[in-house]
Amino acid sequence: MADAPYDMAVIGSGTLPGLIAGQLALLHGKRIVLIAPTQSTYRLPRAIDLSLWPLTRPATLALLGRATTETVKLVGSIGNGLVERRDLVALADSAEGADALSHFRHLARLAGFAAEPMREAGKRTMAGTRIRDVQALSAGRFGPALADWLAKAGVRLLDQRETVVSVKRDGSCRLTFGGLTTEAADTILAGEDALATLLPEDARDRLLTLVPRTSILAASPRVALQGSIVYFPDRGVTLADLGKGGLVAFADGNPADAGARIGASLPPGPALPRLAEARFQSLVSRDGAPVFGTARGGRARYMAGLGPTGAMFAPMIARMLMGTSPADEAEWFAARAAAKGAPRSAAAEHQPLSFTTAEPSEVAV
Amino acid sequence: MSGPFRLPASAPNGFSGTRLDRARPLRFRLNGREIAGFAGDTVLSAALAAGFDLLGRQGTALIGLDPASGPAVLPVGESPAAALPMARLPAVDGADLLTLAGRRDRFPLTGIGGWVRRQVLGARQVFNLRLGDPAASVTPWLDLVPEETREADFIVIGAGVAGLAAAGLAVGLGKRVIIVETAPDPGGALPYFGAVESEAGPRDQIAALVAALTPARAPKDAPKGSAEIRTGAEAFRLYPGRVLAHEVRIVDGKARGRVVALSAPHIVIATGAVERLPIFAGNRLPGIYGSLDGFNLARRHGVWPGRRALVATPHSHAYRLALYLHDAGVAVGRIVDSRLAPNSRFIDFCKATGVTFSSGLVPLEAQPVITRDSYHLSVGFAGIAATPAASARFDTDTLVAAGSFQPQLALWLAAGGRTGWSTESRMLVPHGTLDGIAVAGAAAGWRSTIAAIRSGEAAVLNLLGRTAPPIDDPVIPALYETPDGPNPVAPRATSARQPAFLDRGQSFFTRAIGEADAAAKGRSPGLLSLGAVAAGVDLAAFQPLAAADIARERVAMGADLADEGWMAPDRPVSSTTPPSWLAGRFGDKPLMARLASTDGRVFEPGALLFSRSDAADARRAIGVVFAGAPPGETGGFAVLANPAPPAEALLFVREGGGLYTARLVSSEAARFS
Repeated sequence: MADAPYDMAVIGSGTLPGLIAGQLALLHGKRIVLIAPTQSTYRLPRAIDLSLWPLTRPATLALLGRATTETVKLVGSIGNGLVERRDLVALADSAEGADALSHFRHLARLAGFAAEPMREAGKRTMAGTRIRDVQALSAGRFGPALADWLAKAGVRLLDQRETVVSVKRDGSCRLTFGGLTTEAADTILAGEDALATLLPEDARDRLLTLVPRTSILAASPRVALQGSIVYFPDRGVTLADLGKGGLVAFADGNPADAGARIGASLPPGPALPRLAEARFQSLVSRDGAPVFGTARGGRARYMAGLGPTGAMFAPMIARMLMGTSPADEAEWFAARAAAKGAPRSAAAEHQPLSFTTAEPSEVAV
Repeated sequence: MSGPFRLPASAPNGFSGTRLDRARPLRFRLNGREIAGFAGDTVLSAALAAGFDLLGRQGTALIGLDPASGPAVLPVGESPAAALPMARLPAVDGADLLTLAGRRDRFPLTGIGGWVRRQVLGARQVFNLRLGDPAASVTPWLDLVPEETREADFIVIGAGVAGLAAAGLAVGLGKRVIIVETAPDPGGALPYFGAVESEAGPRDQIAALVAALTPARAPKDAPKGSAEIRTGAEAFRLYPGRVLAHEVRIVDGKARGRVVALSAPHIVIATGAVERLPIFAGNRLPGIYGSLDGFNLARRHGVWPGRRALVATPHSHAYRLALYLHDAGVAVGRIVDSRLAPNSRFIDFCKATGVTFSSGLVPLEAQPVITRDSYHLSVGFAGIAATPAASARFDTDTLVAAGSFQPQLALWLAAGGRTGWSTESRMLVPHGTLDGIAVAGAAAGWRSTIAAIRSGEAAVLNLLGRTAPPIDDPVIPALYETPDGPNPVAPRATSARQPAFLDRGQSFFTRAIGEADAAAKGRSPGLLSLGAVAAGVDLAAFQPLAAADIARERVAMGADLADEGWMAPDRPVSSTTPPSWLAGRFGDKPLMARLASTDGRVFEPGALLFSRSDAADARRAIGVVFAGAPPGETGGFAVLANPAPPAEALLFVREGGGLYTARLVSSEAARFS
């Protein structure tokens, strides 16, 4: 497939695939086609992109600091005002969760982050951590700016909804859109949606599992959140303050009680109307660490389970895909390689309370 | 006459108010103002009849009260949970009501404060709401616990012709049917759309369809079907096999709401279509009404909130409203059709009544003309593709701003159904199937009455696994009746002082939705309705493919978010068993160690253990504290790399911002939880 019009097809929605595609084109001189849904600022966000998240692996936190510096510089070249500074608060209901957050706080302090302990009184006292000045990619502004940057980088953008992707065993793919066909020599499944859609379950690592996720946009609460982003690991809930745009809440696990879990996590005050709601599935690994693998029975490469800090690793992942990672990055990726379903003891992260077994009991929103 | 904007009791075509009992006048108070009405009025219809059509402001934009945007009201002294929707709340003699939330002023509503409020704000300011704040648009009645549970073979949502036909066929097949209808009477929009020449009149058609709900004598041993119509009940939640509906009932002279849970294996969605809002500046000013809403207001309650009317329409259906208003004594100054030189039998009727007619023009912008004692509208019109300057301008009390129709698919979306954008009809239509749920009538995109009836019957047959005959949707040839035009979208008026909204009701998105920075600025003006999504496609703000996804995410909402008492399960910790997330952190065979503090501290779980005092790189840590010491003891328990440091070695614990020393007391192989 050396004569394919494109060197690589990067497939998937969200920030990470776009940044990887742009890096591969700009820094590594590759001919890239990105297959992703056309950005619409009126779709609900599926995730948030942050420079820090409660992680319990020192190696990951150390690399994350360096990766964030590189990515924020890259995003600065894409446009102004695309990175915001936010306070991240993580609050645990359980003793086990509180200990894990305490460990994260100790790691974060040693890594140079302004991490403080905090307690929250309520029906049950919650213990947690506040991290100041976490860097976040602006959800509203980043999508349109990324599209312009990719166009300037020479990345061909195809709408995922209008493109039929056929991944071949040799890792190449055929792309059919609007009656036309093109090909790419390598296929990179960089978005969880692409992975779930294009790779059958038996072609991806057994560590990966699909988890229901609910995203809800609500009116702004009258009482401010504890931080502009608040994470409740024991509830599977994350709240993100969008300012005048309201509040977006993510709930992992059973959609049937997602509203109840989010409602229990809101500040005191009157009920908040739901303004939008989306239900979808997210791929996570059972040991909590990201997975970088190759499709079983083929050569298409994939990545999943990177969590909210995934976008910060984009330049690092682009180097990995090109085989130019320095030693410490190569070691980090090796520890997170697909392991045929076996837990990876050198990479496993603290796992929040499992909401993975619950199935939707009803489909209404 | 009760209220200055009540049509005369002698008004023909039913415009005296089919729901009214004029022999039973009543009075109630709303935000401290006394309002007169008749039995059969809703709080909203009586308020409009009294001339209280100014709902409030969204920013600086004036917003009018119309049937789609009536706020929640509750009796004085009741908790917010007792609030009810104004449009479905029957007016009750002696009731004392308040709007639930969002008032822009803090004046008292009654007594001397109320008098001052009227002097300061003006007599029309009954509501003075701050609109577009999603937090103020809560619907507590939808969070009520169901008081009654009913089972049936079929639930039919909507008692228009499609719903009635579906129910009638199901009853004929021996099925038990429950019909849920938001309006106070069955028939849906048929009185508005009327009948074509070969059909019986709307009243006769509706009567025949209702009569079919009473089954003829069934053969012996055959199951006997039955039907129950629950009018005034809004189906607001739909799950496979289950519908939640909210209804308002008068109990002991007081209105109260309750939720009913309905279960059936088969559900027909026949919710009709909603009329879209034409896009022009000032399109939600007081005095502007949709043609279907206006028709129902006049027909059911004998209300028209003005002496003069101007009708702007992209289709012929609004002509009927114009004619009926004319017959009821309203001065219909002009009908402005956005279609170029349209053909319609109605045009001749209008000319015969002396109503002036224009074509090829859309409303460009409406401006309020406010004096101390009066309010009216000045409406500018422009050619469809013209420069953004008004080529004609007319004054009026009320503007009928008719639009195209969008299938009402919120419940279909709520049940998990999908939609797709039809480029031919420029509307979102249902796509795909759902087990046990079918869509019929205008909600499915059918246009003619006969097609709506057949689609209702087909929905029942399909749900029962039977084959339905093909449906013909006859269209009157364009030679006689020009097809409906697209929803009017005015050129952007540079001089406009009022925004152009995308839809009526609780959606306050404006045409700025198409501007690249609208979302980036973090505007969140509430729900994005189906009509607003369709408008977004018309304005090229949404790609047609994305419109269906946006509708799916933003149109059908669940209950308000509130603390219902959900508690996370506890996950206790153990001082003898390290947590699983530390397994593998310190090699294949880590140790579980007891540490003693040299200064009497109890170590904090999560703190890191180092072998050197100057080490601060977490990757060089030799252990992690996972539990503090038991009460009365110092130090704690740690997971430790193997081999353990010598017992005499001083260890260093980095906890918070401090560095503390410890010694190893004992160690053993770690077993993780």
